[in-house]
Amino acid sequence: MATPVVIFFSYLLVAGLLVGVSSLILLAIARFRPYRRFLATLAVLGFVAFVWGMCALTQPGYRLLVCYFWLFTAAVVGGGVGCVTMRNVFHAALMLILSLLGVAGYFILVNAEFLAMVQVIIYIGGIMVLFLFGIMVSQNIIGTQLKQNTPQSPWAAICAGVLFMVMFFTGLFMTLKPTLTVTPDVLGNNTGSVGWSLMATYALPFEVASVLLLMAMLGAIILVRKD
Amino acid sequence: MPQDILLILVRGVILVVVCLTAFAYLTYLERRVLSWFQWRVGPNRVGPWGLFQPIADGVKAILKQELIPRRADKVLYLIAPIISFSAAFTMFSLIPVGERVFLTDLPIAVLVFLGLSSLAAYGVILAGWSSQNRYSFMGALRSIAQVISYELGLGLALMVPVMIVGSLKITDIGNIYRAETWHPAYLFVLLPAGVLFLVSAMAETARIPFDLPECESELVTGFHTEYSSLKYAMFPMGEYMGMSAMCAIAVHFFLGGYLLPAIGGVDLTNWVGLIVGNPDAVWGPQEGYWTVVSLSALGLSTTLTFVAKTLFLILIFMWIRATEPRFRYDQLMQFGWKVLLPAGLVLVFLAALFVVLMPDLGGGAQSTMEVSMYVPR
Repeated sequence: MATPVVIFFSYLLVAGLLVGVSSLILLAIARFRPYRRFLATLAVLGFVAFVWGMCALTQPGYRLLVCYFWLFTAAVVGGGVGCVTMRNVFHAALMLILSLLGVAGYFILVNAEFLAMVQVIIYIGGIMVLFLFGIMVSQNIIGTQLKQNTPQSPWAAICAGVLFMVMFFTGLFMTLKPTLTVTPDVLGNNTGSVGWSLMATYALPFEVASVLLLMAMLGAIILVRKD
Repeated sequence: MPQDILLILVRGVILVVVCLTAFAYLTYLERRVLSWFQWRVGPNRVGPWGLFQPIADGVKAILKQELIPRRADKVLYLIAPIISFSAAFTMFSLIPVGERVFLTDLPIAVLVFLGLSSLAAYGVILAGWSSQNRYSFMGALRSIAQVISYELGLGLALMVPVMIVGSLKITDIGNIYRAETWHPAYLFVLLPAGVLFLVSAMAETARIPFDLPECESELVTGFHTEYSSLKYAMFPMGEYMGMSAMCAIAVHFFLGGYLLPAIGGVDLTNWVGLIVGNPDAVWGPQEGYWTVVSLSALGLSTTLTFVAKTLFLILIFMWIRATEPRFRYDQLMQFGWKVLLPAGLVLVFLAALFVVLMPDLGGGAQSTMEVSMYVPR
């Protein structure tokens, strides 16, 4: 099985992953800020090599899927790293949008188009637009200087690392059993299925959540009201 | 598989070419129509009746010098027109233009449409922010507030037919206008929803009564003040494409799509077929392949009907542009939140009542029935 081609692509894959991840980590460190162009190029090149190796090693039928998966992963990871490292808060918010778009892509890959589009409409079309609005108003009208400085970054890095390890080993050693049986019927009409489960099976939690959101909205209005 | 991809690519190229030409002539049409309304002559110099004016405009836009402000945020400044342009074009790829003449017919097309219309706002936001110009910035701020407020009306208006039909697929929704599924009672909810949709669409695409993001008398030209050359042209392109896409969606949802009513027992939908005789005899059986179907009498007549209906709505948009004065900003917000949003909620409530009281009427109720078989255990 270990033909020279397979060995070559395996090395390419591993090397690409190492180069990509290490340059991403260096990108996140403030000391290497002067070299950020170089590091970003390196990260992209490493990523391309990794995906190339990955595609070459998977079965022909799944190559497109694998390509898309890693494309969305790049968006999520790159967006996340950009979001916490960008100095300009506006750019950080845009990076967060990139990351959210990647998550929407994941949803599409697992046949949850409804969730994907809701992600786009609500998070990207609503919440992030409000984020940008807030940033623009406070920066350009009120005149507050917004620069992202993250003194807690070591702690955040440790927490993120621990969480990643937990998830990684959970994924490695446990096969998560799906609790819902997914039938082709549900896959074909998952918008309808989501609607039915929200409105019939889980009607009470759904309504409780909506009342909670209503309370939060009223609370926000009362907090900013000037009598 | 490769043939399918090739077919999709060919359709995509056709779509882009048709849309670009349509954009060029929409600008011409708008200028002519506006000038007729305002008792002027309008562009009539280049070619017969000024018909080559869009070409001249295009050449001029391409050849102009391109200026980028020194303080601009370069990357975002370059990305902004691309976003607003491509979002509008992608919107068009969702819309079936005739009986089985379409690029895609997604099961969640309505949601994708709403998502794209909110993504299109990012073009405006980024353009306004990255230009580092006060006027652009004010335009971007206004656009954000406007898009957020009017998206609600847009979504609620679209939800009314979606609720009645029980599907998010555009062809399913168009199908309620067929004789078998149509009921006059639909008009009670669909007509006000259509008006609500058109008003919200006008605001969402920043057409004239709602064009506060770029109003000339206050903000120079708003968010694209600092843009020049082809990058400037991409904003109107996106705007016109967005407007046409909104009109096309409105045709599908509220004007019977590409169908025509039956008059005197004769279904006029296949009017080309009626003119040339029995289409099956003339063009062969119309099963299967897109190329055959789109060349067939039914495909041709439905496509032409659809284009005519869309043009009719676009002409209404132009008519309103020629006659209505611009809103004041607080009026705009008041109107969005205190008139359109409650109206949309009431309509959604009525549609729900409609679905509950007359369950056997719903055009695509079968799709909800299918799902009710699903019981999670």
